Amino acid sequence: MGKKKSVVLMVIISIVLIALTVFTVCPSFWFPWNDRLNGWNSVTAEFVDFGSDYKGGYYAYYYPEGVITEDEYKGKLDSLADQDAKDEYAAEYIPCGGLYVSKEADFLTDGNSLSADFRTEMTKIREVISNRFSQKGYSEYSVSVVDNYALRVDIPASDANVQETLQLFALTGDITFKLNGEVVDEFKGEEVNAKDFIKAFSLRSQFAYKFIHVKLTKAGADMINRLEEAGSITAQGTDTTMDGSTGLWMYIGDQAFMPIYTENLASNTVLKCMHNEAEYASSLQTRVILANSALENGGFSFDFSDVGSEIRQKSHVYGENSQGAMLILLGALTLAAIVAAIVLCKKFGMVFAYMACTYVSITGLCFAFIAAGVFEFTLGTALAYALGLAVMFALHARTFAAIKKEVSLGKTVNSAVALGYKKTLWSTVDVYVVLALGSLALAVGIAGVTTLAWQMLICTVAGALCNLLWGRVINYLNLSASKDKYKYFGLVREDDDDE
Amino acid sequence: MSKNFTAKTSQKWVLWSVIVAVIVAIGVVVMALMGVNNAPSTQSGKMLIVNVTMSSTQYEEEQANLQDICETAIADAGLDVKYSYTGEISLQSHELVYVFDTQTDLTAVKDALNANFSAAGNKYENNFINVTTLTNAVQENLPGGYVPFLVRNLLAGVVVAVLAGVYVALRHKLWNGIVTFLSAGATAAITVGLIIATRVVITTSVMYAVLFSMLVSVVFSTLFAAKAQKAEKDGADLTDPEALSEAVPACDVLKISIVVAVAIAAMAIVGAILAPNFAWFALISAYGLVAALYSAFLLGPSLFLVIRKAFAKSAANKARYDYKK
Repeated sequence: MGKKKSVVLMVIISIVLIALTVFTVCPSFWFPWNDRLNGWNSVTAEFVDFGSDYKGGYYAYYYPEGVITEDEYKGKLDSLADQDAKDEYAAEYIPCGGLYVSKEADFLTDGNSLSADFRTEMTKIREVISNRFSQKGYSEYSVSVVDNYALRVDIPASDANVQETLQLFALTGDITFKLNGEVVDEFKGEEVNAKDFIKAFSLRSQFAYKFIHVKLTKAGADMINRLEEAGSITAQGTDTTMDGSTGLWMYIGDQAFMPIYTENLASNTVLKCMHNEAEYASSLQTRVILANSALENGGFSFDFSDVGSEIRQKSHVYGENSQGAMLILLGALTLAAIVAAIVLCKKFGMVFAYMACTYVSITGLCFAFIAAGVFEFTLGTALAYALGLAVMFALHARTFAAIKKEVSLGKTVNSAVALGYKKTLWSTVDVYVVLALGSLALAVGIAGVTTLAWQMLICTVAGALCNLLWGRVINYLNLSASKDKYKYFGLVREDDDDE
Repeated sequence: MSKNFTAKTSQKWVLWSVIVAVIVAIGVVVMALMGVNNAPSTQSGKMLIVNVTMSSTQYEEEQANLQDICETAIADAGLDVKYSYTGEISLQSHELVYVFDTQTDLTAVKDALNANFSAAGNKYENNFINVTTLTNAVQENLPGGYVPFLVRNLLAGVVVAVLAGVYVALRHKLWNGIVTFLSAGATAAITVGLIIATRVVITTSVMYAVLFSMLVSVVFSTLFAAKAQKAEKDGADLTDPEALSEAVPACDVLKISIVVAVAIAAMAIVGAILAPNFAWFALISAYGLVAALYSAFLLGPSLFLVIRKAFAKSAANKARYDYKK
């Protein structure tokens, strides 16, 4: 390639790469001269889902109906004017640690102590709810029992639909179908089990949409057919209330959970419900987890009060500055790698600078925009990024050493470059294949490890792309534009006839 | 570094293996005697909750004062806080939460704070500040429960080692694959052993560091296998420690190690300085790196030598058998 063409191409590539890198990592700032523009928000700061390590999280308490907090109890007591009313109110509750349990909720207490049945059921319900959160794949979460009578749930800040998740996972009822607010005939009676009608729920995709796939049993299919033939299932759009009082709805306990329209009847034994755009995948996943959990475990003897607005935002686990500190650290690490590459490999090190910028842009944009709400940025992510960068650097330095060795054997620079790349090709491929296999293997894990698997895979693919393809392209263009190819590699020309 | 470093060290596989076994044994003994050091935030505790209702602007100004009052009352009562955090329920409603050991009696400090906030003449007299306590009984210290968390993630580690081993064996020779698998396993064992033996705080992040060390180890093993295989193709007899040392010089491993070590150590140290609470994570990452370097420098080459010799012996026996036949 001619020098002019190379220079023009390098200038274009440089501008695009700088713009992409700035778009990805440049810190947020405001435009003081222009009130209409809110300012610049970097991809890294705004869209990457930082986990509880960096951004804190949310927590909420699940109180069984009949259990109130000390604040609530005292607030009500203070609001009562005369002493008799106060005494009467106080006599209705049993203090249990920091909670107050209504004597009317006889399932909760046995005299003045915790009912054995309630204790057993609370243990089971905690496991069930914990399992629901586990399936969401959070890096950190906990479900614990508070003062024997309530649950406390902690989840990381990365969940984009915190309120919905916390509210839905608190549901403890069984699955039923209701037509215009009335339980359908098939679900009437004591011995009815939802499993007799539904096999499983799953999250599926169709074109750009996600939906809940409901696999019915023969009995379930018969029920839907009967309702369809009777004209009870309405078309989408006819129900304007959307509160479960009109048309056919699936309920969990007393909560209207999912409407069923004629458009949802995909085949005899399959319903395709709640079609939504891909950005709502996390919300649909929450519903699928809840529905399968309710199907598997059935209903419990008590419900939790609505979590409502009582969700608390928790401060950062590692201090307020940890998110910024980690980003600065990763930026410094990248910069240090670029400087080291230039010092070690001279102008060939500049190729690494282009590779590093590409790596930063690919990883940053992928973490931010692929499956929002899934890629939670944890301490493990920082390690995955650093490992990918270090491997990319080491393999680039290895290629440089191979090129240098070929030159020392008397090869021309062009043939040394070709041979250097050729001789290191398979070991580079091996390293990336092993890393890719290792990344996929991490998907076997649970909690943050599953997320780490996909993040490591992104870092590996980005590194492989830079080492095996992009680096070569940049080197080819740079070398074509270079006046002195020996100087480019920091080599001393031994033989004037060499080039 | 001495040129025949690998020649010397590769003949001591028993010593290197025993060191791994000792580190693991120390970890097991420490765990048996003292248990694992779970993070305070994953342990049960009694919470002192100061619920504050005031405008967010006013709260911003007053938060430090409120915290001072709480911390003074706690110190006056002679109580030790395990950890604390702040919570925001809405723009008007906030929480200051202090967590203590489950057995701690918080009655006195709770009464003192309630009295303090509601005393006539106190600047918080007309604000809604309530102090309550709750006992939080944590059943799971790690997401999904202790056993599932460890089993599933350790299984992931085993799959990492197996897949890497199988790939390297298919690309090169079976013995290279076995060394890759064993090195990754030993790296994980050393990392876990060191974490438990030194009583590092256990959080989810521990698993990241262990799996990270395994990935670093398989990268080293893959590069080692490529070099060894090339040397064997060129006619080197790698059952000879000198030939092995020449084929896979320790300085090559050292160069790569330095790159990785500098990158991670810089991250760990600067991270710990920038955000002091990263220190534990920085330490376990360093453990992982040390373990991976140990496997690459000492254990891996020595295992390669002993396994390669065993395969050579087996091949010789088969050849003799064929000859007699």
